[in-house]
Amino acid sequence: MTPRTFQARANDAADRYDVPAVVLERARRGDREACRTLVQTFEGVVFAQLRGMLMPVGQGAAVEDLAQETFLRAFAALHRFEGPPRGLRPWLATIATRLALNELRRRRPRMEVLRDDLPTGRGDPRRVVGKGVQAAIAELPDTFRAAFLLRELHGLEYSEISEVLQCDLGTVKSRLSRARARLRDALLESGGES
Amino acid sequence: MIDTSPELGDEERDALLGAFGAPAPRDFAERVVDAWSPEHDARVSLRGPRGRTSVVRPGVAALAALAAAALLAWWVGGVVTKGLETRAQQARLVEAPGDPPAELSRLRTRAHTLLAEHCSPCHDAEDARARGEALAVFDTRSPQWWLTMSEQQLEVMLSRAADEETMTPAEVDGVARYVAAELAFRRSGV
Repeated sequence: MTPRTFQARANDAADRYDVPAVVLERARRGDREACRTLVQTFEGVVFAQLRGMLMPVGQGAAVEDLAQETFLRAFAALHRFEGPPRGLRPWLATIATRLALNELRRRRPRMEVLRDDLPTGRGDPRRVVGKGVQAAIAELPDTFRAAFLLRELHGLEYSEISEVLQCDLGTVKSRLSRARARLRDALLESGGES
Repeated sequence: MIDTSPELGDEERDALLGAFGAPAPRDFAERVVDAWSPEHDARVSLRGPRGRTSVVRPGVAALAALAAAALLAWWVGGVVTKGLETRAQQARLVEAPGDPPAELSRLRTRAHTLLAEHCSPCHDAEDARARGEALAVFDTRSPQWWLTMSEQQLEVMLSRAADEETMTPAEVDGVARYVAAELAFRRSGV
């Protein structure tokens, strides 16, 4: 099977996370239903980014707190969001990433075990793969992990990632390369175990 | 077979989503909406909107706490400005008659640059998107933009700066230093 291009995947994701402009406008005005729609549309995006970012220090309550904070900050700044609705996904992922990086700087000394509540059963091969991926991502430095998740989970362009992380394009590329190599190693090992 | 191209392949991406893509708690959206209210502009508490977990940067939070403590002492000391009918009146009174120290002038200039950059369009009277209630607090186009702010509003401004995701820690620190200096100057009675 021929792998889809990055752009094709990005387009698929953009369609999936597109919300009507009227919903965005109503949310800007504080409409409760519109805000709920935005949260329900993008909560998976925000949770995935925060789970990935917070792997080394915590899950559960910490992720939920920061996810809520992400949306509250987004709502507070929604009047400044000028792009089309499909731009909300990378924007929210960016806010979540910055919050997570701040949180990691504050909480670095505390380490927790990897979460053990993956959605599949104990004997499921995907669970084994998932834990391997988690471990590989968790070992990455925070900024490497941020670059990797922003690119691979949320489809941000290299230039956008360089803005979020305040580093140059070459640094973004090298971080992504290293993160991908880690992930592939983990997947190969997990495949061998299962 | 794992794709070895520079970008991740579908199989690798699926593994990534499997690792981190579990659904959000069922009532999460409801809780967020409950925490968010249309009256968000009334956020005058340093703790932010009700029900949320504050993640204000520790250094800024400490500065804000110090400023709040100093303000409390100022009120307890009986130096409460009473009977003022407008914010402008209060501002004229709290602005000391003497020239501000050079350091405060420098901090005001720096803070103004940051606020103009990060708090527009709401606080920019020349922008069509400016908001009346925001302009009543401060207008970045005003030559003496700080005069319309009470001490409490200065603290709220600092709190909001700390919450502002587009501000770097250094920029928030610039606002914090300004607020501390402004409060100290007002209380000095110079």
